Amino acid sequence: MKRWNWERTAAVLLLSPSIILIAIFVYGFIAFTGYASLTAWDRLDPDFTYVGFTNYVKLFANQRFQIDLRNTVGFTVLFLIACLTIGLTLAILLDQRIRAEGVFRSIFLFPMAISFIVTGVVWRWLLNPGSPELGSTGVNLLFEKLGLGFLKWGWFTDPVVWHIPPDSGLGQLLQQIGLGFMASPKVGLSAGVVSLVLAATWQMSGYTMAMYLAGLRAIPDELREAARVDGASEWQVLWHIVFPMLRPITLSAVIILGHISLKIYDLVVAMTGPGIGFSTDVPAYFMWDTTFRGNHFARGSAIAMVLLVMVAVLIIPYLVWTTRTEAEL
Amino acid sequence: MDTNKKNNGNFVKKLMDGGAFGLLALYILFCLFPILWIILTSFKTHAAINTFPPQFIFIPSFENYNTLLTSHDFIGFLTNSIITATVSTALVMALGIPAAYSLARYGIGGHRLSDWILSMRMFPPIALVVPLFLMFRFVHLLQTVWALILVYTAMNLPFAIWLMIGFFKDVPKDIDDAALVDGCTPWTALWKINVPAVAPGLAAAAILSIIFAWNEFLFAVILGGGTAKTLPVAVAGYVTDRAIFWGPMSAASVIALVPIVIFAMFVQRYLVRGLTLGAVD
Repeated sequence: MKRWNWERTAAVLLLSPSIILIAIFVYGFIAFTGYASLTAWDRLDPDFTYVGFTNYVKLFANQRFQIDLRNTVGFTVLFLIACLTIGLTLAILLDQRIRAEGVFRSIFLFPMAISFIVTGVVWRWLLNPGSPELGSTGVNLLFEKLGLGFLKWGWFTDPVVWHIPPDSGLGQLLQQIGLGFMASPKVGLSAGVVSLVLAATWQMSGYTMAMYLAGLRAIPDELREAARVDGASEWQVLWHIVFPMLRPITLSAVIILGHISLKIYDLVVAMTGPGIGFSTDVPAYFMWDTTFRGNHFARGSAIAMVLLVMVAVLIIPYLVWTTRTEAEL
Repeated sequence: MDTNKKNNGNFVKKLMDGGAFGLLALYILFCLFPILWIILTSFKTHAAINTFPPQFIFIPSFENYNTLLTSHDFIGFLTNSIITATVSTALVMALGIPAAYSLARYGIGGHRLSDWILSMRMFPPIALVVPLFLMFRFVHLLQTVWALILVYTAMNLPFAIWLMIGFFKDVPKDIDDAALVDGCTPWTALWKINVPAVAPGLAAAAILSIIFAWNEFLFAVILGGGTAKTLPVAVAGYVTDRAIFWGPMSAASVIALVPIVIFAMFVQRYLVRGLTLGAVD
């Protein structure tokens, strides 16, 4: 018993430097950012005069921030739909015990290891709309060559924001019930965001595929075989057996992809910048601009805290859920 | 079973496999073309890059690589990247191996602690950057590789510990017990017996830590900035208000890609695991 105690003490001693480092790094610094967001720190040198929630009130009234939130929501929703659809399709196709499966898997996963900066640079080129004088390039040129010239458009350079037209039936109805803002560019999808989603999906759908593939492989063959013997078609097998069993994977994928899309910053820097009328701006970019270009440290901290809360809302229930399921095992 | 039906089923299956193969091959094009394009661009002259429509066949030129690799600045950025990635990884391993071993062997905190450690990775780094900036400014480490090394160590440590716990758990406890009976201390049992036994796994953890540090941008641009630019910051820097320098930018991107391509092949399985919080093996 004595020896056991000594060992355990040694173990705790070995462990503590790392745990302490991590805890300070994460919790300590988050607490500091939270504190800084409640101050009047508006220049390079710190000024910790307490001002309460003023920065947050101003922030939510800020037009750029409202646009950023709209962009983040649009980006996240589109990115999730694209990654999950493509990832699941690829996984189902690969699960047919296809030839050269390993090669496919490695290549699909490959973009994931690349930095968002390089991805952004590449897609900036591919989605470059070209110009009427010089002609088309990138994807627009591809459309032209395939006889799909009508699909050509400005990609991330197009400042258009799709939203419910205020003069449409639905728009008028919304105005009557006091929800007029929902039929304005305040609630909509900017064209630039679509280009960002394309690049991000290129990078992350292989990863989603890998998650789904692992999930598919965990489903016992007998289960599917039994359904087939009972006369179920392949679609029925997918719909009634495979999809329900993939639900936990989908949940994990939503959480992981979702938190990546909320944090997105480098892709925007390398690919588009904030765009015309902030059409491709995101909160993280605004935070950087505010804090490290404008030296408005308190306001920047407030943006960071809003982002943190958004990520926390997404991941904390998930973490609780995974720990609980593990405890049951 | 009816032979006829079975044959028919085989035919359908073959057709479906063929279709699946075709679709997957098509997706491969989508995956690889962007990378291929940046590589092609990096071997074009300034004039060739600005030719409309873009050309696939051209006389390759090393102009861009030549410019970069003879530029004092760029060699500096490359060195910064190599130093930050390797030194931070060395620190991650030095701190992480003992931590992971004790967590695995003595079961301290169990699953909960290791999940908690891993959850650290999910917090948005932007929520940490203001205090880090202030702290490094205070100790005059802003715009040095030291700031980045410290941050990357803290950033990669949770994930490395979490990954290595799994490896150490696979080592049978009997081996450890035998060593302890023979008079080994837990410390020598760790380094002489456990570490060699899980060396490939530890290598994977180290490689992942290198990849994450190598690709990192947010901290690099804010804390490293001017004099401690790493490759991603350098690449992003070729987009200026006046022009985009496609030539050097694509060559720099390719240089940043090469080690990742090599490393990623070894660790793709763990890459997935690491991001998934263990939900998928």
